This record gives sequence, C-alpha cells and structure tokens, in this order.
Amino acid sequence: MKYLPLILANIVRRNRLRNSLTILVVALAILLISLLIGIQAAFTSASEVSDAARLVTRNKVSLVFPLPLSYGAKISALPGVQTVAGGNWFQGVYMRPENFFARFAVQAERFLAMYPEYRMSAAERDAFLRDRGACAIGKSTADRFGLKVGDQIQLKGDIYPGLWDFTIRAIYTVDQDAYDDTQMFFHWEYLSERIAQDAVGFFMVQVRDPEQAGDIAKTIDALFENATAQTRTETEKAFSLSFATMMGNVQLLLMVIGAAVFLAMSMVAINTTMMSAQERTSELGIQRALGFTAGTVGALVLVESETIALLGAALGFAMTLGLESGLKSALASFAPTFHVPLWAYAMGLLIAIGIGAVSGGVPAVRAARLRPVDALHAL
Amino acid sequence: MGIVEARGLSKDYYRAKTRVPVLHGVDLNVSEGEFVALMGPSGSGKSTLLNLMAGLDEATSGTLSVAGADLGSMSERARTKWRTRNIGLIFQLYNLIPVLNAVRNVELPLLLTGLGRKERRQRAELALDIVGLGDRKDHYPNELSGGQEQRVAIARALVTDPRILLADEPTGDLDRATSEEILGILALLNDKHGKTIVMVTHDAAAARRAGRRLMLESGRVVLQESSA
Ligand SMILES: Nc1ncnc2c1ncn2[C@@H]1O[C@H](COP(=O)(O)OP(=O)(O)OP(=O)(O)O)[C@@H](O)[C@H]1O
Ligand SMILES: [Mg+2]
Repeated sequence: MKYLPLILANIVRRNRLRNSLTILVVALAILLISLLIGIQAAFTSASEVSDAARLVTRNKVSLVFPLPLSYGAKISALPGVQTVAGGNWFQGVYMRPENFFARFAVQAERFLAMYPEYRMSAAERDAFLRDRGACAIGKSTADRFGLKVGDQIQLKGDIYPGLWDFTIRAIYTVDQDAYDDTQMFFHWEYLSERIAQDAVGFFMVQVRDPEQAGDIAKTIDALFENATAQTRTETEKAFSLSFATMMGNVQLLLMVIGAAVFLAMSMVAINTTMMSAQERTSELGIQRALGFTAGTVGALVLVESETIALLGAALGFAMTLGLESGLKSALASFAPTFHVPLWAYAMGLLIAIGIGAVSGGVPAVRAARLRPVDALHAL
Repeated sequence: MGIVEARGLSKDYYRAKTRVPVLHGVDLNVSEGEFVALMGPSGSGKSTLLNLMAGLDEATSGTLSVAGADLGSMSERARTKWRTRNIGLIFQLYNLIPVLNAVRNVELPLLLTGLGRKERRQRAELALDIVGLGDRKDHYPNELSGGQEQRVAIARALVTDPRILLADEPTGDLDRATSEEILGILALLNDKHGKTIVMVTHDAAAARRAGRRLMLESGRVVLQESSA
C-alpha cells in the first residue's frame, strides 16, 4: 500500500497520453470481446431454449418447398403426438427493409398452446384468436416501433406479394433473455385464404413424452415416405441449429475478424507497456541501488501494468453497458436475443488480468533480473 | 578497525569470454568519520571500486568489509537489505524518479523500512532541510536546477541515516559554484553529522575538500595523501 503513490505517479504522470491510449485499447478489446460473446450467445440461445418435446416437420427437399395441409391431421393422429400447428415463414417488409423482424403465419390457437414462453394476457390472447386479421407481436418489436394493441400495421409482401394489413391484438413478453421477443405471428388462415393455397411451410409437432421425440420423428417421416412430398422431421433444437449454421458462416467470419482485432489490440497494449518499462531501466536500477529487492521492483512493474489493464477493463465494461441497449436494437434483425451475459464480464476481467500479466510479466522479470550496476551503466 | 577494509581486492569483467582485469589487489582502509576522495584516470576502476563498497557488485577475489559486514560472503539479497540501512548512494546524474516530487523521491528508501507514513514524511522533510531545500519539497525534478536535483539526491542518500555515503562524481555535471555548494553540504554531513564519505572525483579542487585523497591507477591504489 505504501507503494501506491509510486505506482499511481508512474501511471498518471509518466506519459499520460500513452497510458490513456493503452487503457483505451484494453477497453476496446474488452468491449469487442463482450459484444462477440453477446452475439455468439444470441446465436446459440435459440437452440438452448428449445423444448425437447417440440419437433419441426418440413419438406425433405428444402424449407422453401411446402407441405400439404392435410399432413397435419395425419401427424396428429399418430400415437404420442399432442398438438400439431402448421405455419409459414412470411417475411415481407414493414415500411423499410431494415425494419426486420421475424414474421410467421401460424395456426394460432394450437401454436400458442405449444409456446407457453410467449406470454400474453388472457384478454389479448382471446382478442387475437377471435380476429382473423389480427397479429401478435413481441414486446421488443412493439417498443422499437412504438406500437400498441389496437394499432394497424401493414406489411408489403415479397414471398406473398401484395399489401397485407393487420390489427395488433396482442403483445407478448418473455421472461428469459434467450427467448425471442421480436417476432410477429398472425393467422395462417388469413394467408391461405388470400393466396388460395393450402400449403404449409412447416409443422410444429408437440409430443407427450420428450423421450419418444426421436422415434416419433422417424414415424412421421416414414408415414410420408411414399408420398409426393416427403418430410424431414427433427427436434426444434436440431432445426434451430441447422438454421444457425446458415448464419454460421457469417458468424464464423465475425468471430475470426473479432479475434484478430482482439489479438492485435492485446499486442498493442502489451507492446506499449513493455516499452514504457524498458525506457525506465536506469530508474529501476536506481531503485535497486537504493535497496529495493529484485522481487519488489518486479512486483511494482507488474502491479502497474495490472492497474492499467484493470482501468481498461473498467472503461470497457462501462462502454459495454452504455452501448448494450443501443446495440440490441441495431442487431434486432440479426441477433434478436442479443444481450451481454454476466459471464462475458467475468471473461473480460480475466482477459484484462491476462493482458496485464503478459504485458507486465516480461518487463517485471527483466526488471527483477536487472543487475543494478548494469542498469546504472545504462545512464 | 576501519569502517571500510579492503584486502587484495580484485575485480575482473568478462567481455566476450576475455577477461578484463579492472582492479587487482586493492588494499584500502577508511576509518569511521573520514572523508576520502578517490581519484584516478578514466577507466582506472573508481566506479567499480565504489560499486563493490556499495555491495552492488561482487569482487572476483580478496576481502571487503564495509560497516562491519563481510560483503564477499553475503547473498545479493542480503547485500540489498544491508545497503538500505548502511549506505547512502549519490551519483553523477542525480537519478531522481521524474514522476515523484522532491519529498517523495527522498522518502523512497524509507519505504523499505518499517516506518509509518508520518514518520517517513517527517524524516524526508528533515533531510531536505539539511540540504537546504526545505522550501522545494513539492517540486518535481524537472522544476529544479541541476544543483538542486543533486541536493535532493543527497537528501535521499541521507534519509535512512546511513553510516557511509558513497558518491560517484557528485559534482561531475555541475558548474564551479554549484559544485562548491554540493561539496559544502558533503563537508557539513561529514563534519556535523559524522558521516563517513567516499567520493570519486576527477576534480582536484573537489578532492581538496576531502581529508584524504587516494589515487587509483592500473587497478591499484598508487598514492595516498592527507590534508595537513
Ligand atoms: N559492466 C562492465 N562490463 C565490462 N567492463 C566494464 C563494466 N563496467 C566497467 N567496465 C570496464 O572496467 C573499467 C573500469 O571502469 P570504471 O567505470 O570503474 O572506471 P572509472 O574509473 O569509474 O572511469 P570514469 O572516470 O570514466 O568514470 C573500464 O575499462 C570499463 O570499460
Ligand atoms: Mg566512473
């Protein structure tokens, strides 16, 4: 503790600009890593929160090919199946293309029964189910566009051309960050009526016993083996993961770039800290000559670089907290459940300590090994 | 028994595996309370000898006892601790820590002692008073003149109340008048405070302030003369 003024003086009075920049670089590295962790977590959360009792049945060839509506009744009739709800990926544009959020046409009553995690009041739920032109949207999307129950919204269709009008009858909330509260659901019947087609993009199948999910999936696919449209049934988790791998390439690229930038930043921080210890060789020699032991001199160098790294971490955490909500809406279309988990901060802290240890460790050992006579010679 | 006793002291350096003998067979005796000037041509080994006395370096052969400690038999760590209590070092370049103000620079060696904060501060201020810089204690090294910086360095050497002050060309970088000030302070410390001083110098006028002059040449003490 008595060395504190010396350590602080070294940080605050010596090369203030350089130390500030080092702190900033560490902070940016921490910010970057927190955001990457947040995005990564958002990508994987969908598969983590999936319900093991839910299966997805879709066209074997590809998601873009539909299945006949009649398959739903056949699947429902299988033993062990509790509920089946058909649905379509609608896409469309709300005002501007960048206002992205997921939009699905679903067989609403059964769909909602399978998704208790999307919570809404009984009154709103009834209002939604009663009104064929109604939709339910997630709270994040409602907040993002200032929408409330009773508002009209219009989507411009792309997969299903034309202008589509809906009345918002329900706004659902979630009680876990990992659940997606940005989506919009509306009645599949509203879609099929207008396009005059009974085609379904996917069936969500809820089974009674998750243990049997795998067997039931096989039974479903076997059932349609000889039909014109064959099916592929997998657990919701596997489905989310295969969906995530579509995004996976983008994600991988992002991670690689992030890691590279992160490494570069760490190097910069390490390099500057090492330089500043190096420049001080003769001063460290003086301290040794004054009677500071090798251990004390080394420890002081290490504590100084750790202090800088931890100041950087503190700034990085502040920046992360400050940017998180802004980023959540900016990333809404890309990673709707984006949020920085607590463990990202723990990770950031460890990384900062690591940067401090590496950048301070080498000069600390060097300072400790310094022979005072040689150091004084360096004058 | 002298406070510094060297017998047959030798020091070789090795440069690219060739032996470079610097001191060979130095015999030296300094009594407590003496003020000795160590002179000699450049490269004759004055700094080397002073560093040995400070326990900063190890002799190749011979014995060296300083302030009652047999330096040859001590570990580097033991010498470091011993140095804190017994030796005050002053260099040609003032060697202050630029980011610490005068009083904190002076206080530095006291951090290694068990003294409390208040006590450390008091002692540091006292040491600054002794060198006549009591009114500059908040100044940083770059706000002080060369002579003032050297006085802070002397206060720092003094603050642990060591028995011996070792000074390597303390006036080497200063003009005549400022040198005289510094020498005056050293003489005062010797006179009034009873510090034993060994001072390396090139300057004959400076050497005359000492009670005894030693001449080092080709690694040996070749001449000794005392002031009348
Ligand atoms: N660390 C070292 N390694 C190798 N040789 C050294 C080392 N330190 C000093 N020497 C050599 O030892 C000799 C004596 O050096 P020293 O510094 O003791 O001389 P000096 O009498 O103090 O000279 P000056 O008056 O120039 O300060 C010189 O030849 C020098 O080159
Ligand atoms: Mg010298």
